[in-house]
Amino acid sequence: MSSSVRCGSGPLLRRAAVQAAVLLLAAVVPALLTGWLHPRRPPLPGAAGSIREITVADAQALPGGRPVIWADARDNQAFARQHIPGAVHLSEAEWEQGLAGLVAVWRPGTPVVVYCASHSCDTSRAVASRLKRELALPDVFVLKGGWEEWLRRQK
Amino acid sequence: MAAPAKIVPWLHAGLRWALAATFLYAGGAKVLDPARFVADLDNYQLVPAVVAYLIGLFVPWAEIVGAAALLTGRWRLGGWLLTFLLGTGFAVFVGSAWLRGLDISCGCFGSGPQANVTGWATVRTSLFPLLAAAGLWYELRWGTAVSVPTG
Repeated sequence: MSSSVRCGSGPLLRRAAVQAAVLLLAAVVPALLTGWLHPRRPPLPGAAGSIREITVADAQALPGGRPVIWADARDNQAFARQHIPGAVHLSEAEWEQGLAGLVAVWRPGTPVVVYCASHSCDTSRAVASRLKRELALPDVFVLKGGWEEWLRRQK
Repeated sequence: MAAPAKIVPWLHAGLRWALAATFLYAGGAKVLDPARFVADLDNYQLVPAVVAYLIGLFVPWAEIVGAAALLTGRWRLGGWLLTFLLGTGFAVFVGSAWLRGLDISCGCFGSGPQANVTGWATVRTSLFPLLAAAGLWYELRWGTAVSVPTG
């Protein structure tokens, strides 16, 4: 092993930049394939399925003091046990029935916040995407942290 | 200038492998659920949705190829630089969210362990570009002549 020291780091730095650029290029193809084929690919921005998360605090303090409609995407039993006051039950299993309940209380300009059990559940995102897709509602959010976070905030 | 002590190349190699493993895990976790990562990025409210979408698709794979370059030792100069740039980007995102008081998920490990944006998360995230910069500096300073074998 030699103990020689590289004195001019300029060429090496240039080589690092070139290698980094090529590595970045190598990431383009799998990235494109992910956007095209991945079963959990994100919806295109502005498309019906594009959903933003909202925190409990932000949902309760929307500009202009706008109230929100809470949509509970958990199963029947969980909803029956306890839910956010005023929430409508809207699960994919009983979509038509839940949708009728939501439409009955929805007014133009009212945001809908969908929640499920916790941060790790996916049903709220699925329900919110479907709401946007089928009803073209402009303001549909997913509650960050879900029901667990709501409970935590009430303590 | 004297060559570094014999232990230093091994420390450098350990740093390279540790950083590679971290980026490989982080990129892999994000690749498993790109929709989750794009949503996390969107919650930072730092870039338009279309940019968050593109970053969300591209960055996890950039992490993986950067990690592979570090891990295999082939093109590790590029690997150090790429992980430095990615780490800096993450630190800017996390730090800005912390400064703005956003209560959002870090998104650092995709669908893996969830952590909120906090001061600690900012410090932790800032460590990665610093470590990558240290690794790159060593490589530029001493080159492969005093490195341990690649692999």
